[in-house]
Amino acid sequence: MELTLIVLLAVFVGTALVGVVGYAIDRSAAARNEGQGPATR
Amino acid sequence: MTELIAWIEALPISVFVRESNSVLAFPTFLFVHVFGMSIVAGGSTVVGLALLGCWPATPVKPLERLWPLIWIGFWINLVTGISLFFADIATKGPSPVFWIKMLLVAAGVVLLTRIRRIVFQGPEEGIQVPRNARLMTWGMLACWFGAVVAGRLLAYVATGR
Repeated sequence: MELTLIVLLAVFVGTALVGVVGYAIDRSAAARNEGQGPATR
Repeated sequence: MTELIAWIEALPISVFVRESNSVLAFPTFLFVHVFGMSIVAGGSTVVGLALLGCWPATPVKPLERLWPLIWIGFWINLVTGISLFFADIATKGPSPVFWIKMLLVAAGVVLLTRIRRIVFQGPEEGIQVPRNARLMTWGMLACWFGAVVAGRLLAYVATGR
């Protein structure tokens, strides 16, 4: 139970970190490039 | 060198990741890579914030159980990262952002390992967070944050296709 909560917390924090950073960079780039997003491949 | 790059880009896994329209190709590799990074950065951040005293009433010792999870995330990242790199080595290879990311990941792993050795030896009541471990923890958090930022920026600064 304890381990499950710790793991869920870690994954939640990591996903939030990656998501917020990615969103901020994408928004910033979109504002600068008039809506053009990143290359997807 | 050019021949080596061409050979790597012609590997079946590189061609599959780069050119296949299957959802199991580039989208899945990228998703799993990002998920692995979430595990590594998230686990490290939880451990780091606990060591820096963000939750003073919470025991630190149980967080040591996160290390196997963090290593699973790391190995997932290594495998998917190499595949993604091989698929686009001609443009990712020369990019300084890519190598900055690699440097930050390497530093993050070293600091994570050293923090475990310094802090998590002995029983719960013996856990101390010395000053150098606190500095290392700040450094580790900065490394993972920088690695996440550099990873996202790679989509912008190294696009040859």
